[in-house]
Amino acid sequence: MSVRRWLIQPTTDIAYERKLVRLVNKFFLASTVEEWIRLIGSEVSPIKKKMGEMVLCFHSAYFGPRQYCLKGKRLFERTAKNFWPKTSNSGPLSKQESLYLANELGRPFYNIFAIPLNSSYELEDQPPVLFVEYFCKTQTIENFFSEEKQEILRSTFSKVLLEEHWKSGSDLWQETFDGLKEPLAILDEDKKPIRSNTHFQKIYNKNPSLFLKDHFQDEEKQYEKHSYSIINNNHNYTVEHFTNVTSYLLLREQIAQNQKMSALGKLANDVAHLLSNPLTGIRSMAQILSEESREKDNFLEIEKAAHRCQKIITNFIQFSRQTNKDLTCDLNKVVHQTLPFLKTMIQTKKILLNLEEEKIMVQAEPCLLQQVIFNLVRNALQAVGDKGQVCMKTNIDTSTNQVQLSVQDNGCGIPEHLQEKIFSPFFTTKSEGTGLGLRISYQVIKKFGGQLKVQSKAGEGSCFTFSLPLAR
Amino acid sequence: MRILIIDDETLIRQSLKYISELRGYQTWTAGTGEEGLSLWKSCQPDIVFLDLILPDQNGFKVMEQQPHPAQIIMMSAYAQYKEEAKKRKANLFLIKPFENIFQTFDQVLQELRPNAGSELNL
Repeated sequence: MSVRRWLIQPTTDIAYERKLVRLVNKFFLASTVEEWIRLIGSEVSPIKKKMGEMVLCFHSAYFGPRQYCLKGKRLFERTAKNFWPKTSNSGPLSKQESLYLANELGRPFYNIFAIPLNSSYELEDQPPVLFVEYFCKTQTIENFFSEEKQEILRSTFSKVLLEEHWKSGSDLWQETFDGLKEPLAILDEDKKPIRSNTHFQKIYNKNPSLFLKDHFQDEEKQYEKHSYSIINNNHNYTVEHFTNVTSYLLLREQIAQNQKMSALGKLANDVAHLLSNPLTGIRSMAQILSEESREKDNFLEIEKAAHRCQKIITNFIQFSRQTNKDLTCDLNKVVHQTLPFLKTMIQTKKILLNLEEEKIMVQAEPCLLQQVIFNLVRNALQAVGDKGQVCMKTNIDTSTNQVQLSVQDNGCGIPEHLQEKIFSPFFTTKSEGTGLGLRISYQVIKKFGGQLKVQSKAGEGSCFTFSLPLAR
Repeated sequence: MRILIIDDETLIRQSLKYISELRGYQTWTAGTGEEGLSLWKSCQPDIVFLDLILPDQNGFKVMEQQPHPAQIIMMSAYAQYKEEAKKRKANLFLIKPFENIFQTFDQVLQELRPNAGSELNL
């Protein structure tokens, strides 16, 4: 093929040469196969009455064997059913070879002029061919599609094919990256994104500085940056891939929390057993002395105090125990068991209890429920000032067979725009907070078939309410 | 009836001794396994209150060496040893803490009187 290129000799016909230059310029501008074949359509207009259909057959890297059929201005594209006749030189097809088009397009074809478009860019051993149907002398068509014109067609088609190939290739990559749910970008030496996926663009448009950090948060997701450099054409680029580590971080926090609680549980268990002996001794002796001595009341107080110590310890064991086989518990009891842990925080603040008198049996693990109540009351105590008050109330709804427990405070409240976010993981307004307390509470309540909700007004206070199904 | 109490917690030892004597039983006490075994040999008790964890050896070891047959009441805060105590033929297993020492003592003696081997949940 490269040999043929050298065969083109300069002609003496200046007008013809100018025409060829115009043709090169015109065809060179085509960037798709469709544009290219339409240009031929417009080129053949001087002899259009002598011509029928034009069929271009070629292999597309992504779509396989293709056919573009052009008749007048009507163009359609289809998959080639069979392989077209191999053609190495231009010229009329034999009758046998013409059957190919007849079979493919379902109508008789008589005179067909084939122009092979062998290009340096060949994907298959089946070179692309342009078939031109004509109703005149072969010579006329041969003259029209001169060797020079054919060469122009060959080189420009090869260019178009290459362009389409790379374009569809890069489109495929772009779609792949856009499908990725994590931001990805290629940055130049000045750290400006030159290529990026839609996810990156979405976040970048909101806040371009987010991507400068190694970690950042967008909506409810936490991202961690992974970057590496690539060198292309002597340019140094950086690929930055931000992986979504939300569930990983959440899991890590929960594991840490579980470990903490189980270590606490073991410790509580050991302490409980160690204290059990002396406390049993104290209680027993106090019981004896209260029978014997004139100081009966004082010894009874000693006995009661030791009894309280034992209760605190068993309560503590329950609080820190991770798995509890007991799946039903009395909500009132859990509240009473939880409040002693908050004693140091209460100080001058008030906690008002408005609980149902009867037992409220719910289906929930007491130790988890205790953690929820602990979180809610602790948050409320943190929100109120020294003279603030927290009100806890239970309410049984017999129609839905549910109980509601609300923890209301008269503290600083939550601004409306933050209310949606408070149950999201890692959301916190406290300098020492983990942003997990409410999240975990929310999940625990959900796990037992209930709901945790908030009502709040900035400056007036908040009310957290959870509902739980009553145990049968 | 003769009663021996082996426990390293003085107040428990003293309380049990007090009630035991109040109910008219001859009572001895020991704070270690070794001390307990020597009293066991010399005093030949009918009932032994035996703490599981003692400073010098554990209660099961003391039980293995018993120099004279007696009804044994094992005591511990570790409830998980109840099965082990049953296997080793302790007559009763008392889980600490006791709610009320008088009730506990009386119930134990009541349990032991007709026939040995029953369990007590106090």
